[in-house]
Amino acid sequence: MTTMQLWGEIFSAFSIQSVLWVFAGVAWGIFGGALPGVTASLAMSLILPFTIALEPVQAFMLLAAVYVGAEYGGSIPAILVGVPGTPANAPTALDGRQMHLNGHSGKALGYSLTGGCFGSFFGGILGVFLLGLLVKISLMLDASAFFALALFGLSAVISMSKGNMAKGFISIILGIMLGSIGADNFTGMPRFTMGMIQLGDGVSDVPAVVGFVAAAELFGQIIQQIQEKKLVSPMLGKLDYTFVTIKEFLATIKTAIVSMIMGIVVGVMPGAGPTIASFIAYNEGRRISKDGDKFGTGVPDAIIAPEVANNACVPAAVVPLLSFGIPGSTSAAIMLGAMVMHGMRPGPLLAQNNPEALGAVFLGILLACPCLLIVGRLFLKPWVKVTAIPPHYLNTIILCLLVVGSLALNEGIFAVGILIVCSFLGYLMKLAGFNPVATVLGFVLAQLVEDNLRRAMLLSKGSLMTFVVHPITLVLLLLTAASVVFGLMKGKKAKQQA
Amino acid sequence: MKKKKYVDIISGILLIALGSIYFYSATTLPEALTTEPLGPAGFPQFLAVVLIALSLWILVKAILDKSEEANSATKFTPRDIRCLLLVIGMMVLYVAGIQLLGYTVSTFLFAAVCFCLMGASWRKPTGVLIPSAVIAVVCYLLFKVLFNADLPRGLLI
Repeated sequence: MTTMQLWGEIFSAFSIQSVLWVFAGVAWGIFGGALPGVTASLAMSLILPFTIALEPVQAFMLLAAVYVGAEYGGSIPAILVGVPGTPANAPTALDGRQMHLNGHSGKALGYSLTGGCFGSFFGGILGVFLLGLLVKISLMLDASAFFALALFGLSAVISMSKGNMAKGFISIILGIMLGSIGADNFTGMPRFTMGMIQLGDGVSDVPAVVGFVAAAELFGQIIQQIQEKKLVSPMLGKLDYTFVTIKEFLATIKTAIVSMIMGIVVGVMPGAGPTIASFIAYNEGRRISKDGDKFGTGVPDAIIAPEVANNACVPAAVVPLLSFGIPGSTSAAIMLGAMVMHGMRPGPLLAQNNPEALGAVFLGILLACPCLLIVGRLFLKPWVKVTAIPPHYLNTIILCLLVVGSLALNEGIFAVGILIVCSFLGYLMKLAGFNPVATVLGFVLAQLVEDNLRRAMLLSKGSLMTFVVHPITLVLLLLTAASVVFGLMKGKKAKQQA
Repeated sequence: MKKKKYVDIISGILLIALGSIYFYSATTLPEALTTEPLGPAGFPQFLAVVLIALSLWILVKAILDKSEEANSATKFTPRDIRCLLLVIGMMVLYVAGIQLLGYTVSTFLFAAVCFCLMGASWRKPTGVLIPSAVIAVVCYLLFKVLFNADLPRGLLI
């Protein structure tokens, strides 16, 4: 598939209906993102069951729009109460909060909104070209290269996990083990099903991913709420809603462009995601901005940098998913779950078999930008009110939505059981210093890793040389090793400094 | 569970047990086809071995660790664990309730109990009962009527 064909798919996915779904997705995304503790991936997980009833194209557009909306929505509580809605908005809390305290709440939210739109839109356009290129490359890869690529994706997650590398490795292995449950793809024989017929097709993707993602984020808040019983939401007081002007935005364009490029580069790397992009862009923004020394006092560039970067990560994170079948972030892993749910298998053949899916995702992202500007600007006041929902109502609603979401998969009560078990395990893992997000990526990549390893071994008649003779495979394996060594060295350095 | 290193010791032991069970289960899988070098058991066995080795590393490191950090108190308390078990227990009861009483009634009860556990007062029933009823009815209408999801009916509705 060429880039031109990809643009063709994007335009052909356009319809009035698609605009409406994107509007709905953006609105939900801003709402979800604005709720403290609800990340973009959780906002997407909560809406996932709704998408079963939709056409696949509309479903992917909706999810892409939620992703874009949530990355902006998270900056609302970051700016107004200093609590980032999603981890990626943490740097925004520094200067955004300060600008709000200086009496320019509307401007702080405006910089975040315009920066988010800029990042997703221009990041989306670059993402299309990047996808066109990677789709071509993906068709040239063989089984051994795919195995190496999946390993590289997983190693990136480990090297970025804080602290103990062994725990990062274990988290991934647990995910792959979970993914190995069900019928073996080569022989059709059931494996590790413990005699349960419901596990014959494997552990259901959606409740498992939602469980691990939600557990880490939600259970901690619920447990804290049970102990503290704090019913009052933060008081916002009277706000000034004067919005940012075009001239004011253009004054930050240099930072915006650099941050967008950083967002794309970080977003494409499997497992890196918007949080890392935001922090890197904030630091880089400090270096290139003329107000660099004023960072921390509420300067526009310091809000623009992380917000452009985390929104630029959205199109970038779906590129490896749509070309290689490897999600670039947890939210992209939810998108993978949605594609599987609609009978598609992300990977090199997706562009040939379901080109409309690629068009839908990117149209969703590109359309979401003007929608975000309209919805975010017109309803600035209602979104601000979202941050004031009392936490005991909020946590209960999310818990109920998680359960009904699993029931709506029409896999019966067993799906809720998977949700509960995965939530429990995910929370325990987090308490013990393991990384549930790495487990999710291990789980969704399990099939890709094992199938390609076995296929490569089958084709080479059992010779391990197949991983050395192919240059792309060798380069990827070396990159994987470098990534692990780099992670080990970083961990050692951090320990010495501590 | 007071010291941080105890968490690593317990996780290490549990993971070694898990790895061993997984390895044993893999050995009971049928033999590989003659044409396929790895077979259905090869990769899982490899994973199990790596898991056991890494868990052993964590276990031994934790036992030998004499640092102040490892012997300091954990961030979470037994009360946190009790609260976690309470949340999980409630969700299990909720699932059992869904099968017995049906989705709407059990969601209403579950939401009401959650509100009270998280701080709302029974003495102000409007703040508990009305939001619980709204959640149950809205979820039902949204998923059952709009999305045609198969929500269990149970003995009641």
